[in-house]
Amino acid sequence: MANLKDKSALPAYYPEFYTFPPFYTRQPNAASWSSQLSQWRSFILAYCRAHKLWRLNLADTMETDLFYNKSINRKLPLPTIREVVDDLVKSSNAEWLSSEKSIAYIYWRTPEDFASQIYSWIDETGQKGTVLTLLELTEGDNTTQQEWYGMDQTMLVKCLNVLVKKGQAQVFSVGDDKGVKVW
Amino acid sequence: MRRRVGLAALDRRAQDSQTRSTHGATLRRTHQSELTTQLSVFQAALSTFSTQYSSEIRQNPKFRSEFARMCTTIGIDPLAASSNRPKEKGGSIWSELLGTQVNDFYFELAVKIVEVCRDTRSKNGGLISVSEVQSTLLKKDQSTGGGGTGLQISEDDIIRSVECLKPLGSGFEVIKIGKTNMIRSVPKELNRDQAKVLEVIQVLGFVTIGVLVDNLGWIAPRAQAVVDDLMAEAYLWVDEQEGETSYWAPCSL
Repeated sequence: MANLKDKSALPAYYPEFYTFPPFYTRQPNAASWSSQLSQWRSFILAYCRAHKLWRLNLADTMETDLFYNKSINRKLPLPTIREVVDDLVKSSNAEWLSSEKSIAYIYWRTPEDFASQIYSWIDETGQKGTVLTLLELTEGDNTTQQEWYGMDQTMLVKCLNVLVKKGQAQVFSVGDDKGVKVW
Repeated sequence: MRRRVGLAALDRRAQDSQTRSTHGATLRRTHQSELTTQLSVFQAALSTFSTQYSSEIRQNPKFRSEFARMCTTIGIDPLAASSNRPKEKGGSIWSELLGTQVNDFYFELAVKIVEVCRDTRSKNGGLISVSEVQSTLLKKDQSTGGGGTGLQISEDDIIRSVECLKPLGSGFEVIKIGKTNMIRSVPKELNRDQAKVLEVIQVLGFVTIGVLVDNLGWIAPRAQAVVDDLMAEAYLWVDEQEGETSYWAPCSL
């Protein structure tokens, strides 16, 4: 039971603690918990980034590799997952969809970071002043290589609002879809 | 001189510049090989010199620091030199020359060790195995590239470096738990019971109160108290998901 170190078979973004059974029990000691919390935070972000996950349904995700290490039969309990996500919310890396705290958007980059990425992409591709639909941004052929490709529309609007606030963009409705213009 | 005109001049110019560059390359090559030879002769001489004047180096601090400065200037790393030497001769050129006296290399290494200990303190509560420090340093060394090519730091070097921190009273200390050397970077003494628990964890990977009671003949409250203390120091993490509550040490991860 002691030898669970098959970490080498896992992708690099898996934390060293992934195969450490106590990692799945919330540590009562404040110092240990703060270390545990920060490990879980970065792991969730890295995992969502690698799998291009934009929203986590906690009840479903609980059963996936993210929170459930089958090889050692350890599972992070739901209340602890909530606590970690709550902490991500504090740093604008996550947002609850509702007050029930069952589904959360995960921003593996903060909305500010995504906003500036989108802004520079529009600038570099000479599309300033052009109206782009939100679908073009997240599903378009030109953006497949971009980090925000496939992003949830609600999240995208939130990111774009960062630009709106700075007076760098305008978001409006185009038929059923929404459009954005950046200058 | 009459300026040359006509197409032949173009050809000639191209030819000239080519000859010049070939010649240049030959010169550079010769220079390089000469320098390499000189350097290796010099290194050999330096090595002989250091052996010949070892007592002088050991006894005369001024001579010693001049010698060290010379080595640094020409880019000779005392530690790198040591890894080429047979182990049984006992570590680096420096420890041979300077006896047990500490030197800049060990101080620099000590600084790096302190960094690793501090970086990992929140994770392991300030107790880390020497071998983990060693592998972390190696990783850092590789990721920064260049610098320490093939530079090998032995466990012995690390232990020696930590020893040289003692006068600072910073609480860094090498302690032996079971068969493993650990660096303790928080100024807290481990009592015998606590050390025993960590030793059992080294063997089994974890402990439970039951294991301690059965194997050490302790009564349960004693075992619980020791474990609670270690938990409070962040040396141990608890796992409550399988049968009896078990305790694990992140430092032996």
